[in-house]
This record gives sequence, structure tokens and C-alpha cells, in this order.
Amino acid sequence: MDSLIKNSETINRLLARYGVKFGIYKNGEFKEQLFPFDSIPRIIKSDEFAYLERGLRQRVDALNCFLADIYGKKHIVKDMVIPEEFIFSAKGFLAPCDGVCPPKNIYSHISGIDLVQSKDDSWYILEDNLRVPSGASYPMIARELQRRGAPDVFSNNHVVDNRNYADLLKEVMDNVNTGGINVILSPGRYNAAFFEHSYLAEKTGAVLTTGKDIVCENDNLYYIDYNGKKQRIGAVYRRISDEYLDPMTFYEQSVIGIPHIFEAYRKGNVALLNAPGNGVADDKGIYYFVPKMIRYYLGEDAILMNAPTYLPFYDEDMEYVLDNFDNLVIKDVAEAGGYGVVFGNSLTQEKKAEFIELLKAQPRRFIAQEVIDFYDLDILDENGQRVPRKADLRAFVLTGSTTKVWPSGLTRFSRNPDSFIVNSSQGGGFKDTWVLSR
Amino acid sequence: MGIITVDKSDHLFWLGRYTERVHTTLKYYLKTEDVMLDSDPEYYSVLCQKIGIIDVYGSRENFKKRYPFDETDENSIISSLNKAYDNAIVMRDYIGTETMAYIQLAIDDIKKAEKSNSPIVDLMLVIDHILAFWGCVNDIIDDEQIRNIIKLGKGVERLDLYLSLGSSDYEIRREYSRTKGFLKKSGLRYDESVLYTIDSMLDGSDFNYGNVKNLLRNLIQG
Amino acid sequence: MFLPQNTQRQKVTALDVDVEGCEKFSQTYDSFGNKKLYGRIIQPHSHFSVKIKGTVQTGVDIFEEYTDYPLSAVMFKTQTQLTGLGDKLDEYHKSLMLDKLDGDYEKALRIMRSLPDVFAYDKGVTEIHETAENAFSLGRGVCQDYAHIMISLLRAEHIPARYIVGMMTGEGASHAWVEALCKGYWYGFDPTNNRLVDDGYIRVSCGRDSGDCSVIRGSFYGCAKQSQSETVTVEEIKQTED
Repeated sequence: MDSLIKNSETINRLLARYGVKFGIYKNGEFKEQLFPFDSIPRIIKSDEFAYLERGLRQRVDALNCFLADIYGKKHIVKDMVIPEEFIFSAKGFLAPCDGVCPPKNIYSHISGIDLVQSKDDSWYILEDNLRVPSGASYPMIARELQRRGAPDVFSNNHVVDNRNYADLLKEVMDNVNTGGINVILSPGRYNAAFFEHSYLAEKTGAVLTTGKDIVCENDNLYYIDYNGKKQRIGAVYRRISDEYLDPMTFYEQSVIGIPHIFEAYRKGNVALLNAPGNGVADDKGIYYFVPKMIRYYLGEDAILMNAPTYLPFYDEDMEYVLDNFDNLVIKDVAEAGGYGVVFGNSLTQEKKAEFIELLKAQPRRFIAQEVIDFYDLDILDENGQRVPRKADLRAFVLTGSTTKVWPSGLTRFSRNPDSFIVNSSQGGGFKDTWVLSR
Repeated sequence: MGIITVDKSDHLFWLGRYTERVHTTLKYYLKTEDVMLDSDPEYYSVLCQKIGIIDVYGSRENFKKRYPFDETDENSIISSLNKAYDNAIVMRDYIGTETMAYIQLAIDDIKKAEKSNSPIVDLMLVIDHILAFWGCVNDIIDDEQIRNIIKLGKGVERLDLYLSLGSSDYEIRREYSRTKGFLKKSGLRYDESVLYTIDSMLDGSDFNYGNVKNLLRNLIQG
Repeated sequence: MFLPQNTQRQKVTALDVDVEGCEKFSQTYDSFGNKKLYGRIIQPHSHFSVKIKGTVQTGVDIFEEYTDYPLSAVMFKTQTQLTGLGDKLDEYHKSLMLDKLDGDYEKALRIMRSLPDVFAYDKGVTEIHETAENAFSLGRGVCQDYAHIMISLLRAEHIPARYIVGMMTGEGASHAWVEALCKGYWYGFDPTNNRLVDDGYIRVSCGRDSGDCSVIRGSFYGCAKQSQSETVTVEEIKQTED
């Protein structure tokens, strides 16, 4: 392990060499930043991973059932397991997707499930990301470089190789491909995750495109070369969000979308990964209901726990939230990326009163959660000293012909000792995640 | 890979041009530095004139600071390198992460050279990276067409610069014959009649550099 | 763009579509069951037009039976960004005292009948995507605003309501009105004219609000100013006996 730590700087230098960056807008200007890498890995034991794997597969399978139900017959609403307000008023519910069945009925092909481990070693689900979860490329390339930098570490430890992510991803695309090439649709190089888009294209053999070379004709999608020759597209791993996907169906002013791509999809002529409309299932308000979903669709108890969550929408929960405000973290369901998160005890009296007014006026907009006592991970600080920091784990769950969990994940940590927020957009770094084979 | 769109062929072509521009102008810059040492301290203005950029430098010191390193000067070497990067970054899936890394290294090292006590020695590293980049193009990129479009860009830029800098007839003919090979294999559309005219000009013993340069600019279509 | 189709109320007996300059176009049905025509023109062009001519037999029925799937009534119970109640509408909603009435149909009728007291027809006051609340605060607007306000109030009563785009005899443009789901049937209300929807109306499309059913939408590449105009002519033909 020591050789890994000694190599920390080398690995960061190599990451720079390979352009492992993410884009960020500061004061209206686009900048590329390196994603700081910490060389002490998070280690998950073999039996622990087997438990996580069972729980994650169960969760993602239930979420896929839920999406098929919501955009289909809506049994879960009719059976009153989830109140209709939580579905149809969710920003992520897209009416144009109603009644549309994606190829092989898979909605969430690539799911990024965020977990945290508490001090007593239990794992909790923090949130589900079923739209365009990003981050798998970073541990993929970091592992490649670590193996070069400290080969002895990998011959002495039994670490499951995580460089198969591209194969898993390709399998998932091929599984739903309707007959044609695979493409990765990126908003372009000024997107925060452009490195990942281009790296995954390289590694999966899919064609990277910004959509300018794609047309929809006779309800099929085609990729056009410089001689005007057309090649049919069978699967689009799109890294642009739903609202920008098709100006003819969603946000009309979108210039990065492909006109009529939704019609080709509606008619079953192309697969979109992930399916549009998934936002209804990873809504923070819906999160509360996921254990109920697992019971409803699969007839099983949830293996992985949610963080204890309250919905101010229900009167008794509202009462609890008001009584225990200072011990809770309140999240705005419409926000993401670590924004819209308020810790009850961090507010001044005045702000608190203001916030409670807002909460009472718009109870559906918020969820409240108990603050989990994170199990901190060690990182190396600027002086090379080990210091504990908050960290989470994004597990990647891929649904092809079966649902598989990538034996690794993106461990993000907060560099600020007082912060719980680990998002790269807010200055966090990442670690490799080792799953031990025995 | 099989499919190259208009946009992508454009990026490959300009990737070839800008990497070559960095390579040849950097080499010529090193030569200029040498001349300025003792024989002609004002020689930089000759360089500007030859490659057709406005001499905004005013002094040898300013030229040494700005021409290689000033990112706000669009004629500087680093600006060409940045443009090469812009074209490379969107083509990772075609040229490969390994190949792209050399553009990144060139950028990192040119920035280091700016702050170095011996910038010339450090700038040699930049040339090394460009050569390694071309090595990767030959070695790593499987698709012949992709290779040929990059090399076509490189050839066109080199010819243009050699004609401007007044290289020998022999060098011009050699580069032209290479470039013609890449052009035919690139699959890009070009004007046969222009090619024919250049051919016959170069067949003669004496040809006008300026005329060839102008014709070259009209060679590739769309 | 949307095309009229057969419903319980109307039968489309002839329909002739002429899209200028575009030979390849396709048809589909969206999630609201609307019939949609779409395509693209590759060649550069300075203008483009669609002419649709046809005959529709109206007044076949006065309502439309509610079919559950794929449409879901619950979706039409949920307010949208355009129909959500603000303070002004909320206050007005309370003042109507609709809870004193028994049936949903009666409530819908009272909403429509009362609206002229507080809202007047006026072009050029409201914007294209004006919210019901804003339009109501201004007190004046066009058919779209009438419809949004009525939908907003219906949904506040938990009555499923949908926005309808269509045509009326004697109008020069498309029109918008409302359908409310009462006891399993969709009934049509035209709040702009304070009139129940009858055989003078041809339905084209429906949705949760105007955003779902704008008659035509499109985009183009290039740098140009654009303008758009629409003309609607509806003439009555006497029914001939077989």
C-alpha cells in the first residue's frame, strides 16, 4: 500500500497527461479542471460487495418495473402505494413518454446509485441517478495508471479488475440495439463530462457525436458521413438531458438535440439509453417510496436501506420535521448536484423561521432526512498526512439482458473537513474503489 | 470505424495542419534565435515577413517572450498548439487517448518552457512530443483513412510553410509528392484540374513559389 | 403539426394534406392520442406552408366517454406550470364556493358562467406562454387564457380537465377550449364564448395545457428572421341524406 501512496503525485501527473478533466463554468468562463485523485483506495470486502450487489440489483430492477408501470398501466398509483401528486407533478414525469415502450422494456440501463457507509458500518442509499449518471471513466483510467505505478500492490492484493466497464457498457448497448451502430451523444466539448463521453466512446467502439451528423428519416436515425452516405443507428447512449433531446417534443429552443429522435424511439426503431422520462423515478420525493416499490413489484423486502426520510407532505411527518428540525437535513426535490441542501442546525433563527414558512407552504417540494454519521475515509492532505474526510460511493448498475453491478465504483470525497458535499462540481476529489475477490 | 463525417474530417485535417505548424514554426524559431545571437539581432522581423504575420513585437526581447508563449497572440506557437488541442479533444474516439496525450504533454511543456531558465532546451521537448504524436498516428490508428486525412493536413501545412520560408526545390517537390499520395487516399474531394496544374508547374525546372501556394489553397473542396 | 381525427363527437370524412416542398413526412400518435404529422425539408428554403382541407361531421355525440389507457385521468388532475393557482386565483376559487354544488358538471358550469364577470376578451395583453395566474391578474386575455384559468379552477376542485385546440365556424384562427371529466364523460366548455361545446366545434388536439397541443411547432438551421401566420376557414355544409 505504501508504494501506492508514494505514487500519489505520479498518478495525478499521469491523469493530467491523459486529459482526465472535468469542465466547470466560473464567472461565465469555461475552464477545464483536473479531478483530484487520492491514492488510498476504498476497499470493499468480497462478502460485503456480494451484499451490496444483491441490494443494488434488487433496487434497480424494482425501479425499472416502476418506470414501466408509470408510463404504462399505472397500477402502483391505482393501488394507492404512491400518491398521484408525487408522480404527475414531478418535474421528471414526461407526458410525451406516456404509453411509449422502450426496446426490451428497459428504462434505466445505466444507473448510478449513491451510497454512504455510517460509523456502525451499515450502508445507506443516498440517492438514485437514473438519467445520465456520470463518473465511471475516472476510476477506470485511475486503475489502469495505478497498476502501472505500483504493480506489486496488485499482485499482493486480490483486487477484482474494474477495467471491464467498457465491455459491460457495450453489452448493455448491444442488448437493446435495434439494428445499427452504437453512438454516444454528447452536448460537446464544453460539457463538464466531455472527457468521459469521449473516453467511453473510445473504449466501447461507439461513435462519439454531438448530433450534428445525425438525421431522422422515415422514423429511423442515420449517421451521415462526409460523402452523404448514411448508416443506421440502433442505440444512442445519450449524455444530454431529456429536455434537450428533441426540440420537436421537449424544449423547443434546444440546439443540441436531434429533431424527431423521439418519434424514431416511440416507434421502436432506436434505443435511447437511458430512456427519457426516468426523472420521475430518481426524484428525491419518490426516493422515499423505493422500499415500498421493491415490496410491491418484487414481493421482497428491501436489502439496502434508505437513509431515514420524512415527507412533510404527510401530516405526521411534518410534525416530526418541525419538532426535530435542527437534527435533520432538508433537501429540495427539484435540485441536484449538492445544491438545495439545508442542514437544519446551520440556519440562523430568522432564516429558520423563513424556511419553515416555505416548508409549510410547499410541503411536496421537500424531503427531510436524519443526518447520517458518515464513516470517514482517510485521504492524503497537501502535506501527505492521512486525514479523515466524508466520502460516498456511486455504484454503477448496468441493465442489459440481466442486471449487473460493476465491481468498483466512484468514491468521491470532500476535501473540506467540515463539508458533507462530495460533488466534483463543488471541489471534491475521487478515489479508486477496490472490490476484493476473496 | 468506417464513418467519418464532414465535421470529423475537418477536425482531423486541421489537427494535422496545426501540429505541423507548431513543428515547423518552432524549428524555424530555434533557428531564428540562433541567428539573433550574434549575426542579426533584428532577424525576427524576417521570420514574421516570411510566414506572413504582422510584426507586432517591436523588440527581440518581446518577440522571444510573445511569439512562442503568448496565448493571446493568435499567431504564437502556443496558440497553434491550443488549436491542435481543440481539434484533438473532440476526436479521442478516433485517434485514441494514448495519441492525444502527446498534445497534452506538448502544452504542459511549452508552459514550463516559458518559465524555464533555458527555454530553448525545454522547447525541444515540445518538438519531441509532436514527433511522438505523429509516431502514434502511424502506429496506433488502425483506420487508414483517418491517418491519411491527418497526414494530408500535415502535408498541406508543411508545403505552405516551406513555400513561404523558401525551402529548396527539392524539398518542395518531395513534400508535394507525399502530400499528393495522402490526398488520393484520404477520400476527400479535390479539384483534379488544380492538381494537374501544380503537377505541370513542378515538372518544369523553375517554378514560382507564390503561384504554387495560391493553387494549393484551392485544391481541397468543401 | 396536429390533424383532426375521429372522436365520439366528430367523424373526419375527408382530409387532404399538402405540405409544400416536403415529400417525406410521417404520422404518429402522441401520448395524448393526438394525430401528429411531421417531417423535415433539407433544401434551403425561404418559406414553407401546410394546407389542410377536409370535411368533418360534427355533433355526433355531445360528450366523449372516458377511456383509461394510455390516457390517464390522474394526469389531467395535476396542475401544470401554466395552470397552477397563485394567490389571486386561489382567492377567486374560494369566492366561487363550489363546494356548495353537488356534481362536477354543475361546478364546471358555474366556473364558466362566472368567468365573464371577472375576465374580458382582449388581444395583445397576454403573452404566448402566459400562466393562468398572470392572465387572471391582468383581467383580460384571449381564448388560451380563458381555457387555462378554467382548467386551473377545475383542477383545484380535483376535476380532471384538459386543454383543447380546435376550430369553430366563422372564426379566422384556431380556437381553444376546455373539457372536464364528469362522471366518466368528457364534456366540452368554451369559456371564451361562455358556451357549451356543440356541433359548431371541430377538435384538433388535446393536452394538459397549451404547451402540449400547439397546432404547429418546428425549428430551422440558419440565421433568419421568422414569422408565422395561420388562417382557418370553417364553412357549414348541410348534411345530405343517404
